[in-house]
Amino acid sequence: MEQIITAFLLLLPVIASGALSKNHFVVERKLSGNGFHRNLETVIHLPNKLRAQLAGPGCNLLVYQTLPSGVYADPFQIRSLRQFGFPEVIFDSVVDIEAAEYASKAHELFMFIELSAYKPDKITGHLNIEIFLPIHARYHAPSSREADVEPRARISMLHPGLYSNCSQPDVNNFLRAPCSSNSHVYCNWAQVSYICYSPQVEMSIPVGEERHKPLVVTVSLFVTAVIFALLCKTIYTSQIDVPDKES
Amino acid sequence: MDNKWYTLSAFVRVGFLLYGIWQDATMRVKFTDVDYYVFTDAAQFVTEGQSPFLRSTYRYTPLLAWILTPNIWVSNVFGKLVFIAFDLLVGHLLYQILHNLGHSKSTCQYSALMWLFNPLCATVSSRGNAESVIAWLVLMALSLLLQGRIAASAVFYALSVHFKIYPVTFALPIYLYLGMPSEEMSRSSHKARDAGSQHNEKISSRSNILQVLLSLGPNKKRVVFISTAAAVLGFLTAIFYWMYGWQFLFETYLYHVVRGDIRHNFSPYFYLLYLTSSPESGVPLCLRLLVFLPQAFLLLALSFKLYRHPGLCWFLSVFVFVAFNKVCTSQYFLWYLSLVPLVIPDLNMKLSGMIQLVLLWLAGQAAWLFPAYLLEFQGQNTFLLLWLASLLFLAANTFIVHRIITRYHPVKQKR
Repeated sequence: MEQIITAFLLLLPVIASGALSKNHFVVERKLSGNGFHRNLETVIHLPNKLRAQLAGPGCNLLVYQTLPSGVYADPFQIRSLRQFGFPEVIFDSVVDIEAAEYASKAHELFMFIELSAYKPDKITGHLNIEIFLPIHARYHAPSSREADVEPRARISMLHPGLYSNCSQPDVNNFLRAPCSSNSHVYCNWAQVSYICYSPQVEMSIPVGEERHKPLVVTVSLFVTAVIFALLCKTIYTSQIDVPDKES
Repeated sequence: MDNKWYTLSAFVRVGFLLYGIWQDATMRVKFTDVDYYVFTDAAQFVTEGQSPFLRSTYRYTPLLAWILTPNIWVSNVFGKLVFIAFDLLVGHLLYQILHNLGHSKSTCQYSALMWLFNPLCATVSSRGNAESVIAWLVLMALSLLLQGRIAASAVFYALSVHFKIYPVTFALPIYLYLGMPSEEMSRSSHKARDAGSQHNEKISSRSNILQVLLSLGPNKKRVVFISTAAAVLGFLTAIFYWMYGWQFLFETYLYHVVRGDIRHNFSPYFYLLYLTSSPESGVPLCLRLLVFLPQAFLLLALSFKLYRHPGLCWFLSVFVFVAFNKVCTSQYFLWYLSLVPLVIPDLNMKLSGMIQLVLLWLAGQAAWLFPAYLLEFQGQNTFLLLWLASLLFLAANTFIVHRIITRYHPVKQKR
């Protein structure tokens, strides 16, 4: 009996999603790849029932994503992905793609989804919108924690905000944001609530170890000094300008 | 040299270019160099009457963005074709320089082919990297200097410094070279060396240095060179400063000097700088000095010892500069690759010996690239390995320098 209850509880989200997803957006989140270069995947399911209301002509979605100081999206890379169907994006600030984490601030992306560009699923009539946002980790300050073996920096990404320009009557949460990617006019975007079963996405990247410092500084300087001395000797004793005896 | 070689190498490059168009259109990983997009974006700003420096990471002369405006007006392959053209010109110029130095026709041809059919050079220009333009400017400066056309050489030298700051490392060797008496200058070319008798050349290296110290003052040639170069560089700098302001000065010149990138690179100092760089004050001054001094001193030593052989001296200067630099990426290797064909004909070394050196150089990079791949793309903590690999790479580079210096025999020329 206990097992059945546990199974039921475990399945509850799945069952609930089936029931709720007819009336709600469902968002799935995933982070793919390893290392410093990742893809932040966001899949938005727009159920058939809401499609008529929110995906009419001229209706767009705005996906609002905050990226913490530990990562960045490269505006120029994203622009080059336009030809592969990536949405138009506006950044809230200039992104320095070379700066370290400690010299950077979080930045925000406004991604404009043109709903008319997506075709509904033939069977369910749902709209599935996939966004693969390439993000890159910044270098972080070295770890000073002695106990850590191969320390890593953790970076977690908040879930996105979802907004629509075709307002629903019962919404009172609005975001002032550009009306479109090529517009300087601001619009009121109505917040759209959604269900997300994915946990908050997180990544970790390796960082240098503070305890290596004495070793690295001494050995680097020693090795470069020895090599420097050897090169000086080679240069000083070179016979290039001394003519050959036989000639 | 036979025209068929130029045609063939042009075909190879255009082939790469066409392949690149296909890859860019179908794959997310681009064939085209990241910098090429930077140039093109900057050219876009220029066509709109704005500053090319509005494009972040544009760190080049505005001239480059101007040259590439047809990328916007005509087609975005224009710039690549320009770079390919310069790439071929580099090959031709290498041939001419060696020919003027008195090398045999076949030697000149082999050396030029070494450039023209080097897969690395061919892909670099067809991917849209501007290094071939700078390589051509540097070689033009060298070629004219060897011909004794000092003012013309100074113009190209100034242009090359304006394009990329690194040719400043040739300033001292040029200055010293211009202090040589004319007859001795022309004797550094093999033609004259063979013709002229080799008396009174028994000078010990010690008295050499003393002589040099005594002859450091300005002379006519030096004044001509310095004033011409300063005029060209000053004019370009003034005009672009007037047009684009402080941002031009910072991005084109200063950035390259103050660049303190903590991200992993080939430099033996990268992990040291990463660990000692504090968020508030950066790297402590004493360490910065310790990192800078060996590089600076070696450049001095090379200049004073080898200035009589400009080709060799320039190559070694930039090679050592890159090897000891606090930031070193594979793009920097291109700076010396165009000078390699000038040095090789004078090396008293078997082909197998040269191949060994090339393999050593490549192996040094591979030993670094593997942990770098694990760190960057697999997220493994390989900092220590990467650091050891960077020291090994420095050792490999040092061995190469040692071999080249000890095997350089311009006199023993086989005809």
